[in-house]
Amino acid sequence: MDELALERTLRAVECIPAGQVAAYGDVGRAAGTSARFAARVLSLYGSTVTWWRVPNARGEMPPALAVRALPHWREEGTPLVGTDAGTGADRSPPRVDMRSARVDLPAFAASVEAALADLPEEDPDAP
Amino acid sequence: MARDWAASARMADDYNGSAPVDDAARSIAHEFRRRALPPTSSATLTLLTELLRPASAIEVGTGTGTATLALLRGMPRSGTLTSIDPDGDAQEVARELIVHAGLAGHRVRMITGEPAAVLGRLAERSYDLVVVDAEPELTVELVPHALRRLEDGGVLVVSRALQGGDVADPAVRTPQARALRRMLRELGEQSGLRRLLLPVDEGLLVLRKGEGPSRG
Repeated sequence: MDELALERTLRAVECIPAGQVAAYGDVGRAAGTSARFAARVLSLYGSTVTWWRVPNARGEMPPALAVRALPHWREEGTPLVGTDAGTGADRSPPRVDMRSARVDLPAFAASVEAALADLPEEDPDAP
Repeated sequence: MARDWAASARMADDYNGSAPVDDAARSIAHEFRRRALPPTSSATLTLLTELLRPASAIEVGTGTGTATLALLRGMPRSGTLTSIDPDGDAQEVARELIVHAGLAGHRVRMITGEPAAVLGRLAERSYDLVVVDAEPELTVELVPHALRRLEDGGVLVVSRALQGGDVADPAVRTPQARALRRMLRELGEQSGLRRLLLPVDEGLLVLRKGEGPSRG
């Protein structure tokens, strides 16, 4: 995996404010990669970043992850869909209300750009 | 007592040893006007890291990489070290020394930026080990941030916690010494922390998050 693109992606995730979310595509665009790459980075290295702030474009996460994300969403006051979201094991997993929880994209792009400022444009040591 | 202590510290440094690449990191640190981690502190950090086997660790204060090398030697190959410093040039030196030391197989995230801001962006309760090496004012500011990054059972190591002998000497009334005294006192009153203050080099404070076994 391209180390520099990986680092750009992790930093973009770290720029999502608490209580908000960015979809895989939002993260990919801000990091100059792609939604698919962002999803792959999160599945491999997501455990040390704020992974619960990156659902898919509909605000969903895989059911097993949604269960672990819920305490984080509640703690951060992330807007969720459905009043009974996640209260019962037999209900569909909770998801994020993308209309109100999604990051302000221009502000997000600006903060990601600032966070990437010290990185080289291209990795000269890339194999 | 004082004389014996200095001789013991010297003997410990000799006995614990130091790899040539560490010596290089220390001498280049002088050129960057940075204080490098002395050999016995380095060895302590390596052993602590080996015992803890962190999957993810943070280092605040890369400098020219003395502590970075100590941490990477103790870390499992699958672990990730995030290293933060405002000086990107010093971090470049650290990067090169990591390669020289044969530790390039580890995943290192070098982040150039103000430590408090960068640390604040990292996920809370997600790290097994955090090491803070900074000036006293910054150390006092960073410790609460650092503790929040730790998982239960995670360890925070604060280097230069005693500023040589300044903190322990009541005659020293500098703002730095007073700030560190206050920090140590407040951490001493905080519940859910286990503490170990080691008078090694400039002082190493080791904190472990979690209540731990009861003493009853």
